[in-house]
Amino acid sequence: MKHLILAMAVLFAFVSLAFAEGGVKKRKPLPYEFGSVVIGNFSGSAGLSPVVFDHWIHRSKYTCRVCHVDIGFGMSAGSTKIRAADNGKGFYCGTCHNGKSKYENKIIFEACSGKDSHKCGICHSMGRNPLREQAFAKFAENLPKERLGNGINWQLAEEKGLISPINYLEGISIKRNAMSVQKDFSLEAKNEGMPSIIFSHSKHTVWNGCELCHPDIFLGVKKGATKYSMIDLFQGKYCGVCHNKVAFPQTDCQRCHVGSVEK
Amino acid sequence: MPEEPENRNYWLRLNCFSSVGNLHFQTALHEIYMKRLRFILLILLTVSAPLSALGANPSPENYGRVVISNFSPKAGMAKVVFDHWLHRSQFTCRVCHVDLGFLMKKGETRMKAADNMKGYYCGACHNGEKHGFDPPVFKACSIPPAPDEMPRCDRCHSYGKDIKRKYEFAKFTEKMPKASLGNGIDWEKAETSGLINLKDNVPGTPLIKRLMPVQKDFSLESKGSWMGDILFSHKKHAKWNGCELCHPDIFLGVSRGATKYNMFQIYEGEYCGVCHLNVAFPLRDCMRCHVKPVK
Repeated sequence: MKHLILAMAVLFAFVSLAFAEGGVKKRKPLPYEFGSVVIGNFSGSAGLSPVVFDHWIHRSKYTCRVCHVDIGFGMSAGSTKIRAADNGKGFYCGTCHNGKSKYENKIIFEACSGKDSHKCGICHSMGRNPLREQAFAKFAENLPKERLGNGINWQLAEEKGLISPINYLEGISIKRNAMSVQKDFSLEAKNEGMPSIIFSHSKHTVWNGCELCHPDIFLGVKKGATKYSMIDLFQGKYCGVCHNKVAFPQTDCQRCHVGSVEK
Repeated sequence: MPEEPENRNYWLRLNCFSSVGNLHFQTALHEIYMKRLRFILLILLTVSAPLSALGANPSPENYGRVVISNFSPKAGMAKVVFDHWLHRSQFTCRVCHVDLGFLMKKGETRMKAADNMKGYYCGACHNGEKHGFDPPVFKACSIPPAPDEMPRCDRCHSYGKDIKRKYEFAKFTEKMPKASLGNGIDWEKAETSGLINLKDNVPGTPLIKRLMPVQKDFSLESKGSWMGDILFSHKKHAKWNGCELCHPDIFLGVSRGATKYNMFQIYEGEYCGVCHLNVAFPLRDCMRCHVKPVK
């Protein structure tokens, strides 16, 4: 009888395993959707649709550092818990979206003022937005192409001067002498036969300075001080904080694993 | 004689000999029934999942056929019939399932005509341009289609219609190396022998500059004592899939043993079953993976 119960238990375990998540292909966002963040902490209770934030439009104009260090946005959807009142006081989105600040001599629309209800829908716009799609297609048209992510090689776009992200916000950022860019270094891959990674500080600091990554994401500023694995990265830690959701995805293996094969 | 388990009688009541009083006889019967039960359970365990995957056995031509009907009927169009065999004879799996982002289950991608017209999904290649083909690759989807465009629509929206295909399966695959299951074609051999030459990039996007070195083959221990171990070849897979079709979505771990799975999950369309159920050679070809002799 015990055997029978055991067999039943095994059968049950197998069946329940079969329904567990994993082992299947996940949806790849379309180029214009890549880096979209849906923020719905408080919108619902205020009777508004959640906010859809597009990284592409912002990163074409500003560095990552400005928003994620100087302004203080978190790095995962919903983690910042922004309220309309915060924006109204000039925090978070309200830092620039205040109806006064300018980008290329145009006034940046005011966030969450409640004065003009037509404006709410610019951000509070869940669902497919054909205008945003069109705007993206027009923007991406003349930028260097890439296979994955937004389909744009952002690094090259910046290097070629096709975009010049702003790294300083009047009254918010502090101007200090620039740090000298640290050297590139190689990170040995753990799996035999896998090319090592050449990590380029210079490619990263253009967008991030030092302080977006150190010390929060990478405590160590010495090579080898922080230990992590690809599993950590796939789960959104370390490089995975940016690379997958906003920066080019980790499935672009060869873009990091460029070194010679370790033997 | 040890004491009989209390619920023994329950099992004996199920058969017509329950009235027989002889304890020895009853114990013998009990053992027979237990053995049978175990046997039935074993059969259930080994057969139930494969059965669900078996279903109808598609003909070689129809193997890998996907009928897509998310939006077509609503738009008054016939469902789309997509044949993997024609596309996989020209392109790697990676191009469509990584770069273009087609999902791996029927109807999951939910592409719309408008997407194709914008150059996403089918429209990345099917846009009326050459892309190294002559004549040019026909254009996918117009809204609304002009009456003279209908024959072009029919090339994909062909479900239930009697449409003469431009490429006939039998003729197209005449010279391909044969295999017993799936499309009846040994695709792996067709590629290694140079009969087919797979393109690995979407028109207009950069080529992969450096190919990753192919990782080593490794063996996976079989759980059943009656079954030989699997020899997994990275080399055979990487040609079609690169690294990124399988890692990290389907197999999170890139270190051996990091991802745990079993045949049941595979039969449910997970892990190896994502491809080896409907498109790549089917799971019934046991010995093609379980190549090692039984210990």
